[in-house]
Amino acid sequence: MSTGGWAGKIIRVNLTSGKISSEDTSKYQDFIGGMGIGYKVLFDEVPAGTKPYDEANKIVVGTGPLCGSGVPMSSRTNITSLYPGNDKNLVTDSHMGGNFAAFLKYAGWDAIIIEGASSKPVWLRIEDDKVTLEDASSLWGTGIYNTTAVIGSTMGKESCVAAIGQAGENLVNLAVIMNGSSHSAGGHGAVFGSKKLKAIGVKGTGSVKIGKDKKELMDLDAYVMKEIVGANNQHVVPSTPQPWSEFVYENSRWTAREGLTWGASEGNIDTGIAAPGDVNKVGYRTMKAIKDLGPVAAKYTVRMGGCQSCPIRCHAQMNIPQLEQYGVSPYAANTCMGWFSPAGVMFKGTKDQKEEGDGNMITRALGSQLADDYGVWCNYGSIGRDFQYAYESGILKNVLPEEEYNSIPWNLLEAGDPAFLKEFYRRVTFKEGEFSHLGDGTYHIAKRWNFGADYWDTKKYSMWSPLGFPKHHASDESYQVGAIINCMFNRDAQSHSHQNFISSGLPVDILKKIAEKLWGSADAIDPPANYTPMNQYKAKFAKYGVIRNCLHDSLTLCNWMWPLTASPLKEREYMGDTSLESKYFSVVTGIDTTEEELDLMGERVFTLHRALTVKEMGTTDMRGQHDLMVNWVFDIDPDKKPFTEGTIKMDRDDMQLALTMFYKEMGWDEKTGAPTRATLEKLNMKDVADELAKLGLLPA
Amino acid sequence: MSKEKVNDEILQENLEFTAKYIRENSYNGKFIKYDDFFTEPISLKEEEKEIFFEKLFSNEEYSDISELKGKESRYFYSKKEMTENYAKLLYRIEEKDILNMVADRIRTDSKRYPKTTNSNVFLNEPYNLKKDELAELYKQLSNLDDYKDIKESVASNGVVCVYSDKFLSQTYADALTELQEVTRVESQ
Repeated sequence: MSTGGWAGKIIRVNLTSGKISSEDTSKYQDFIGGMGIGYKVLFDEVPAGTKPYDEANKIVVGTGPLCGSGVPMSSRTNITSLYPGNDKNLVTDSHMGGNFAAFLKYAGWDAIIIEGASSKPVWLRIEDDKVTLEDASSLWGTGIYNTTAVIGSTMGKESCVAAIGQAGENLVNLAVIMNGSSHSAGGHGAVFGSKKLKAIGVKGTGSVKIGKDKKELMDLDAYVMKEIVGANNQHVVPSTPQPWSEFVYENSRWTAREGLTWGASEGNIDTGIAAPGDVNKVGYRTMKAIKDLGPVAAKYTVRMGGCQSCPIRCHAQMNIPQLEQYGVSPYAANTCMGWFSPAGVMFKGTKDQKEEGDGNMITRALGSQLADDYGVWCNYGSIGRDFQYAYESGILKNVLPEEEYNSIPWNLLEAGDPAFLKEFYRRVTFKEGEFSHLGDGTYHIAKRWNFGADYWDTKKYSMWSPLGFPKHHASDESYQVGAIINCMFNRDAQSHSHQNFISSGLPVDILKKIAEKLWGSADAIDPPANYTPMNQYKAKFAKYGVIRNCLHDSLTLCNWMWPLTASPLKEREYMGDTSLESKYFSVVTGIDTTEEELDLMGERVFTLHRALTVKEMGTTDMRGQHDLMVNWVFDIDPDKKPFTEGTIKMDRDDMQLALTMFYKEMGWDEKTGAPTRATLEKLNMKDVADELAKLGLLPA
Repeated sequence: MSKEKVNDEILQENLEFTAKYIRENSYNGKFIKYDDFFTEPISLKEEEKEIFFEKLFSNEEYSDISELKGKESRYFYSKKEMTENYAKLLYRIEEKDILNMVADRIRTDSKRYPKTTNSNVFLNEPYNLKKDELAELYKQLSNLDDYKDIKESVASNGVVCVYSDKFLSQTYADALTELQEVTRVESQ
């Protein structure tokens, strides 16, 4: 094991026996950390056919060597387990920011492997080397806010608590694990619940050792802060014209401008001109509150917060007194889908109360608090769309018993009254009636309630896979590259490597110049809504997207920011620096590693994911049974042909070619999309190849 | 020390101070207008102006200082601290050339990105138009031959964007509007 980065130890907790042991991280060093450790544990230790809530399922809470080291945007926790949202029960990851990951490292641990199931509610207490299981019976049945507060007050203010709410306890498939009361990882809350594990509290007094000279780390940080880092999602162009920028892109999250203030802060802090190079103003660049909650939110913004070690501050901390009328705190914090999902539930719209846009803001803030406290996940916004479809199609009226249907205050929904959200989330959380099956996840609810083809085949409902997960920066934004990436995982693709670059705010001619340098041709990317047939450069770009995503979730870095493909500086010709992960890895771990070598490690992690998927599905036919897309992808815009200006309509043959080219880039079998022995052995995974061979799951 | 040498040193100090002042204002998104040279803090004297401007524009040290000539004033900025695109925008604002200011942005977006432009961007800094002014302005644009290329595109959620049909067809503009105002907002 190296001298830096990794803490060197992993906690293994058997909840059946109560045994807690320590293992050496070095066993997993080839898989880096976080996601890589998770996949390796599940491949080696969880038999195919295991269900998510079986005692035999395991859940791995992992960090990586860069987490807690001072590398920017690195406090990410990766959680790996089987996913209950569809009948395949394949491995997935959920991720959370906040402080938890770094605190776990400071306590001297790289990961926690949780196995077995407790007979009574417990929580795991980690204080440096002292790891104990504590009675959680008084916490069971309470929400995440209470659990966090109680454990936090027990362990002290320098602790961090990751907990589930009642949704996880009640085995609602769509449930989260959350730390810091608003940093959530969606999809595995009920796995905790099935094991009667209410929470993990962690407090550490140690530090992460740096393998090389610490000055090298400081120099890298200074370079990143001055020349490379942008705003949230690595947007490098401002949303309003700024004197320092030759471009402007209104969708950009670089919102800082004179007159845009944190309106509820002491002194009404102005985000001002936060130009590149002004390192002390990086934290003002992104005022996500107005992006997520609308312009009215500016005056309710106390400040922008975020995760440990992150200069970007994408987490809006709000003080909205109107929330108190619904019996919740006026203080709300969240970002992105945390705010957006409740608005999806209120699909009939929201009614303003006192000023323009406040109805939308209050709805989102109330919904985020309810979902966060109960610990309900949204399947990347699908819970609202599923509800909308079931309601508008008349299905709900048919499937709900009349008494139950009539007990739901539809008048609140129709009137745009956010009080409806209290009914919605409570029913889902406590599994009240038929309605609550919305919390089962799209796949299950569509089957149970017999959703029509129009649900799957209409872009409006955003579904991507017949396995019941939605698109997430897919073909409608980045064509074959987005489509490939969305096919690869077992839930919505949480990959931003490709999209952050495409949506960086730079015009297409500049993006193409960067693409040419990175992937060999400007043809790796297309102008928006004007895409061209598949080519090998797009396959390389897609591979970059997936590999970097897996690297980030293993190192652990925030893939909502990394990789830093573009830069805000004209003098750099807007080129970011794709070697940074390897440079940081080398400095922090002390192991000299090139960009190519680190990418190969990412390739190993992702190929292991693929091997695990093959093993769990019991087939090598990934092309035919896994890498699937619903029909709207190909049938949208019936009057237009693929590859013509103004359409996102994909071509079926071209997409199969895209998959073939991607499989080839990955060294997988070009016919089935399954990893070959040669590739597994090239990636030092002979044991994985042997296991697949034993199961008859290596391609011919 | 000779009087000429003293004067040269004073001139040099004034030039340095002025260049720094222009750069600071440029960083903050502001021009220095010609009249500003003769008031605090530059306080240039009328009799010094010829030699002062000659030196300002001939000395390599101040090569970033640039000038735009307007109808009634001259505007000075640092190219190092303010991009030419922003200077052009500021120039339109100063000259109250609002129609071209709006048309420039729309045409640039359509041609360069390509993208359509959310019709409300002109309500924000640094345009700062009022809602009724903007509505009136769009009405004017649609009635003037010079701006006939500016067209409207509406997203499925009702958000209105504008574009130039010199660079984008209606079909393409509609797809770009949908991408920007619906698809990219859905995906967080």
